[in-house]
Amino acid sequence: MAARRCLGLWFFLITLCVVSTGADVLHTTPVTGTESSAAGTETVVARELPEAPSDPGEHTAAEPTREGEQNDRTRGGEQTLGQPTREEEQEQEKTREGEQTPAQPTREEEEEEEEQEQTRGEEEFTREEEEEELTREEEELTTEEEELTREEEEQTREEEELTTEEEELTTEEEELTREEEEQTREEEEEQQTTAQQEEQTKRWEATELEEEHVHDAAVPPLAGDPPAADPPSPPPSKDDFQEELVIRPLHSGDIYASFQFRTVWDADFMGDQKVSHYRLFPKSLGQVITKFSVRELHISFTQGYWRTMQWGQPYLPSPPGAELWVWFQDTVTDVDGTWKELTNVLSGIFCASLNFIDSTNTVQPSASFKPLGIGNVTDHSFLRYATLPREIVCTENLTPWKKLLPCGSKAGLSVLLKSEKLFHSTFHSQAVHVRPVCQDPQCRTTSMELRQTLNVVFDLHTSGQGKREWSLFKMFSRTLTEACPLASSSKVYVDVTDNPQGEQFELSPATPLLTQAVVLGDRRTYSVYDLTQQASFGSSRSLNMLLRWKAADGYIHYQPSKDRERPHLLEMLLQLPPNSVTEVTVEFERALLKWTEYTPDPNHGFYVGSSVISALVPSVVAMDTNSTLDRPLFSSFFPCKEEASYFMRVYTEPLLVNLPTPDFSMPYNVICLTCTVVAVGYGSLYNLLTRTFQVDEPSPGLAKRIANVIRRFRGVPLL
Amino acid sequence: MAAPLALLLIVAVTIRAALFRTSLANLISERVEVVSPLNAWKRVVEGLALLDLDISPYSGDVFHETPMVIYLFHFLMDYAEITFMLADCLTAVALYLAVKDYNKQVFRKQKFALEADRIPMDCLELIRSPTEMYYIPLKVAMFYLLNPFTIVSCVAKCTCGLNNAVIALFILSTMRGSALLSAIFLALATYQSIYPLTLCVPALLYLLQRLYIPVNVRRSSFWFYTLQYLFMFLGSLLVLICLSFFLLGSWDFLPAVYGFILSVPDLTPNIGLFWYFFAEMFDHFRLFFLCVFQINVFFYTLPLSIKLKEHPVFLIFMQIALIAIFKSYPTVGDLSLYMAFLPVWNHLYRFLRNIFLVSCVLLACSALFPVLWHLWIYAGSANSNFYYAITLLFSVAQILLVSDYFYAFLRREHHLTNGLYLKKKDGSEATLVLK
Repeated sequence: MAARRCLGLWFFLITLCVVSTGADVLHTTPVTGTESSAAGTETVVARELPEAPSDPGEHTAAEPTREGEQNDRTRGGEQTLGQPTREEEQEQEKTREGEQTPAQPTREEEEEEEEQEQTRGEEEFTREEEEEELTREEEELTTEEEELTREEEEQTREEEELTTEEEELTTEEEELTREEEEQTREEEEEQQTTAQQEEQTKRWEATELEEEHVHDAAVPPLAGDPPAADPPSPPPSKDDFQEELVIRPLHSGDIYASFQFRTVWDADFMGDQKVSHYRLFPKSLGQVITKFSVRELHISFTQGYWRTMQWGQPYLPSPPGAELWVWFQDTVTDVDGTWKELTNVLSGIFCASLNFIDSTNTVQPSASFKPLGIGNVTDHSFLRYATLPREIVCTENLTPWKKLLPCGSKAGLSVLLKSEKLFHSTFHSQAVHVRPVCQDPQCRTTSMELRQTLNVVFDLHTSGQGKREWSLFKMFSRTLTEACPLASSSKVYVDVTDNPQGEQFELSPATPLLTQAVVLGDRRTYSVYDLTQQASFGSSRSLNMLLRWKAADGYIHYQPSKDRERPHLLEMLLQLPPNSVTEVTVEFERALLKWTEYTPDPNHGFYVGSSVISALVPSVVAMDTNSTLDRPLFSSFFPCKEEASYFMRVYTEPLLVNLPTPDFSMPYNVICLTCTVVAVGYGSLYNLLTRTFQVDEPSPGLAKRIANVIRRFRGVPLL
Repeated sequence: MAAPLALLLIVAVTIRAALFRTSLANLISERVEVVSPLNAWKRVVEGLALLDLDISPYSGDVFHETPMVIYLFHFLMDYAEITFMLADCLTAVALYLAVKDYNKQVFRKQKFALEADRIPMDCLELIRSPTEMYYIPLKVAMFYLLNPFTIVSCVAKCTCGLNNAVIALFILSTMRGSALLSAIFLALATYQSIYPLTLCVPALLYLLQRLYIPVNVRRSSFWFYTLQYLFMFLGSLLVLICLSFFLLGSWDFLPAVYGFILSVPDLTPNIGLFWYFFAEMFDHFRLFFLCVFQINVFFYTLPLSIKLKEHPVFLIFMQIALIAIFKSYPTVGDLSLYMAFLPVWNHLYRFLRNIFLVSCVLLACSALFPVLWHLWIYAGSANSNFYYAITLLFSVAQILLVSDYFYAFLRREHHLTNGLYLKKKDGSEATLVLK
């Protein structure tokens, strides 16, 4: 559903681009007119959306002269708007959930909210409910009550479901009995079917119980969670710097590293008084924000495309190329002019060609790019959004980005940011987010938050080594030696969710510190290395995490064949990820056999037996493993030790291989011919070896010889 | 002479490197004429994979290389292409140097003979001139490196390229008179594929000749030297086999390598005589014919050594050629080694009887191999007899080639002692016949 809506929004951007370029070419509509017309199309398309997403080709066809350029933009637009919209969607859904009927128990909700505070900033308090804390607590109480009643309702609904199912069963039973009556079956069979139905109802009950059990089990860890989450207390100093690195091993064998550097400053940029003393917050950016009255600024530079199918969702989505979106303060009068100036200044700061942003590629989304910081701005005329899909990101963009950090690239996590390694990767994205956030939970004062993020996906698998293991040194050609001295927290997280018992990979040095966080609707487990503590560096005074993938196949048993003695046997124990395709290919050569070894119909081919797949498949219903006695025979053949899974065996088709055949009719001929050739060799060599060269004395002809014989008898001299 | 040789090497390496990059490389490595079950690269890879899985590579019927080869490629797996190109270059350079030495020696002998007036007056046109002999070493290297058979064999990463290199080094060290190196390389070649064992006799003859030790059974110096050489040869062979045993920890490789060569269980078609013969053989005659065919390879050593005891280098050529023709799993790479020697016998050209016919047959057969293979295996419009006929013809052509050279060599020797233009008793011109 969300995806389709995003698709709709992409098309919506396409139309916008077309309209604006059209205006550009024709030079008929004034700037404000373009805006209004853009807004007009926007609404129109938005209305069209639910029915059918319009074909982008239609719009591009309207402007055949600049088709190529538009296509480029179209592609950029598609990728640009997709991911932020999804995030927005999730947010909206969450708020909707929170306001209407909280599905989870309150504790969990609180927990979640806390985490949202951590991850998303504290603005959501004000945005979701602009009421006072006390009333909120009261509300929570009432929601708790509501929750209880809701649970009861759920139970009753489930019971209802059960009863309906039972009804279904009874109807089935009736049908069966009717059939039986019609066919006049024997009584035994009837008994069997009833027994089976009893069994079925039993199993339903069992599942019911299990579900409840699972539900209960899910709650306690949530309650025990808080120590793991980051401390929610506001920073004690006036400005505060945190750094963080998350490393996530992806299923494809690639490594995803995500840096976040967060500077929070309690200065009020919105107010009238000038801010002139900078400590941790970069001065260049602060001046820009003050000068152009920027409320929020989001800028990202990305090289490569995030492969969601293989890698899952990124922590911070960004489109390929450069993306810039800015919310101006409502004091700005000439938004377009300020926007133009701002892009030029930013282009200087980040060494990027952001100055190419003009009215042809700037839009004002009305729905999708809400401010991420505090403030309920609804007038989207203060929002400007632009993408440059062709922007190439390289070292010259990284250096100014690193200069914004308090420690530069001298200490802390930023030591790892070496451009020759970072840009030798499949995906690279760096971003700067500036937004106002609440200083305390009551949100009485605001502070400015600067988040610098850098996401990299390393393709260590193909880039040389071929072994599925990584270390910090291998990825960044640096190790960590200290935290940034200015940082209040400096941590490295390694995602170990997919590795609960350490069976997939092995992480060294091991850390006892584990934390859980809800990211993208999923509960993930992380190993934490706190760089502010000397203990995490160990005796070598440098931290070089090393991750070794264990052989995912687990077990391979291969017995090669021996001709005429035994066949090949290949057994593999595989753990397959869901919705994946695993291919096992066997290469073979066509052999020629002795003529007596062929079957009577050799041209039919030779059979290769079926492959066998034996699997334990997770079961939907739990099974009673103990009482196999009273179960029907067909359900109790394979002994099953685990309740939650059943055994399955799949046989593939046999393979028919066509082997080359000799000519069966001519063994004698072959023996004769081959022996002749050997004899030719033997004969010619024998000839040369045994004889010697002699001058040929030609023997006289037959007539002459006969004549000589006669002459001898006659006593006449010979010829 | 070094510059043309270097140029030749560069050209040869370029051709091979270019072919490695094309899709032809895969196609060639599948050809049964180029690779045999004994030396296919695919099987080396399989053996290495088995070794990685901690399974003895010889437990199956896939791998038949010697343990040294598998351990060599254990380290050189990533540089396999370079290894094979280097092996070819090494062979060419070794042959180049060996033939250069041999030519010097031939020239010196000829000079002595001329000075001693042992050569009849009318044989002056058989005398070899330095200008004619000058380019022979380079031609030998060229015949080896640019021979299409060598190129395809190298591109298919057929390990017979390595065997050729070992044999070439053996020839070089023999020519240089280094008995120890000669014995070691001969042991290595024998270890790789039993047949080079027969090269022991010509090497011994050559070394004896070089030291002016007459081949006389009653002389103690002859026996002393022979036993010394045999001891070195057998000693290094024993060391190699024991080393293999210690590398692998079992004697599995003996039946898997040598048993496989001698008993011919794999009947995959190749250019030799064995495959179809033993596919069609009656089971109760199998052992008998197996013995006959295998003895056939070793059988000619003794009579040839007696006949050619004055000419051990030609004997080496004959032996290599006979091995290539009669071995159980021949490939075109084996042919290329003895074909490289053909320029050395350039001076026999005037006595060759049917070189034109033989070369035509060889060329036609080489072209027909892939065609008939396709017709048999893929198109199904021909049967095995077509391919078999071509292999027969190919073998006959090779036999004729070798015997022709042998004939020409013997005839030249005869002329050198008896004069070129023979006269009958009555003074008329006589023809020379074998009697």
